[in-house]
Amino acid sequence: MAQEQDDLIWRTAWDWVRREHDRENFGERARVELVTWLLADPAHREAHDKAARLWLLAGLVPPTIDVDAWKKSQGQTAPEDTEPGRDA
Amino acid sequence: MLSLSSESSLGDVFVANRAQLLHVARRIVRTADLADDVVQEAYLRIADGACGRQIDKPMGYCCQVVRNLALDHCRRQSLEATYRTFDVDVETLDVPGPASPDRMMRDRQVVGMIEKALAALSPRTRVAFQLYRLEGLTQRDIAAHMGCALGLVNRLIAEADEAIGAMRHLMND
Repeated sequence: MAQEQDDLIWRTAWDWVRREHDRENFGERARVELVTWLLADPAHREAHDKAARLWLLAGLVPPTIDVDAWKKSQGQTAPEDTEPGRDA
Repeated sequence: MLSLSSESSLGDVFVANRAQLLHVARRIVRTADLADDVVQEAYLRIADGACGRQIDKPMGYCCQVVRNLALDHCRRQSLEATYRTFDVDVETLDVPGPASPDRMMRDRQVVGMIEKALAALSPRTRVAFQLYRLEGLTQRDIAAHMGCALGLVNRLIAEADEAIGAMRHLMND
């Protein structure tokens, strides 16, 4: 039970951090909601702090793939995930 | 030693381009002083070997580190401001401040572990993640760049985030 509760808190914290990154869509109202959640329980604050640190560290990972080379390789195969054609 | 020379060259690139990196930070944070703090922290991390391997595009990586630290500063400041509207002083809460040198060493290991986890994902998921988090593009721009639908970009980024979020055990000190 405790584990389930922990998992839920972590998922909520991680989701908040993801949303915070999307600055255009994360306004004052969302921030008030976030702080309300943070103030409700020290465990929320701890999870959010860890999630924010993990988020930051993921942003410090050096590039692992050559985007231009990937694009070129895509040109040689049929695109599989584009929107369905209008005339389909 | 090869690793030593590559680390010092990354630091050299950083120092040589400090003005431009300040500009990158300044576009995100509110004041020139804050931009200065961000660039200083970025330098410490980079000089310390923010990642343990050779980087193909050193300046690109310097910009990436500055941008992500600037975004983190901004996030923290906005949050502090909202706490104040609740009449809560963040200083009295258990919210930690910027990273200490001890933590930076641990952070470097975590960065390496996240890198491994990302390498296991599909190439297009990595491309989407890279453009979003490492190059700072919007999801709309990524869709145009990758030539696919916005919904797919959203799913790919969610997939990468899921893989990273699953690594929460790395955050237990």
